Amino acid sequence: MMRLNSDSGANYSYVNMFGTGSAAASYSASSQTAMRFDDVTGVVPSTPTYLLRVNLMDYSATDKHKTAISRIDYAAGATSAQANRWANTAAITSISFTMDGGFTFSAGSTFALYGIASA
Amino acid sequence: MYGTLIASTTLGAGGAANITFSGIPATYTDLLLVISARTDEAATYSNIKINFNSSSVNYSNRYLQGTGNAASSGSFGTTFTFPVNAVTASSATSSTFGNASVLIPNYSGSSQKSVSIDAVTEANTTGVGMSIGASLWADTSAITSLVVTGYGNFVQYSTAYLYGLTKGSGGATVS
Repeated sequence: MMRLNSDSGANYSYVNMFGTGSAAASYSASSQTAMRFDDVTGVVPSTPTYLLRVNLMDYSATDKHKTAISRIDYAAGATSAQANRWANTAAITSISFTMDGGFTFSAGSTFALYGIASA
Repeated sequence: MYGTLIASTTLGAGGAANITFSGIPATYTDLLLVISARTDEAATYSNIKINFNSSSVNYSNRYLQGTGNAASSGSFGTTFTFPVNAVTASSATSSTFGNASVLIPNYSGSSQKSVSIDAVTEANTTGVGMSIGASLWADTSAITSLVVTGYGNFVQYSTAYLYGLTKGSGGATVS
């Protein structure tokens, strides 16, 4: 899960669509305490092959809630796309990732942040 | 998010059976392959295949697709990475090309290679599709080449662009 500006309040919501290789489905959730990127299969990867890509638009704007379009890919489990909203108009100054359920990120996991500038 | 252009291909008259990028330098963090293509296969839209380092083993794929009237999910085989609904084909509206974006993080690292795929074909008609996909090349080799192949030859004006993305100094690796 991901939190913006250390906000752990119930200020996040999302809608997800996913394919498991045998089924396609969609679900949504509101009043969440973080942007959640669920492994819908519950399959725990044995090697760092879980791929998460998050596009945060207008991250520095102060006149709108923050939205993200995300992709979650795990070839042994599922592929999914997700839209997330953080109900806060503050500019994003920090991003934190945490594993749910008390788990930790395995050695070899990488995190990279890119900035995209308009022309 | 396109980073630095490493190489590009635009097909001329006669098209080509495949598009190859070789000698990929290890100097970037991630690779992004962007394709706009059409093939001469007898179909409206189709899929493409991507092989890394001339390997045809150790691939797995899982995709979600929509065709305008239905959504479905599937998994696919072991011989290549598999962008679904990525190209238009000979029966599609003329001058329409499919598009695919293929992201390969940590392509030069020593972990197995995860791939994230987005693909669309839109031809203002029925019988088109879009997809998202997860692929894995279960090989720890650095990717130094890739070949894109269709289920028919790629036609003139098909393009492929390979970008290198470089993380900033603040990127982290869990140790």
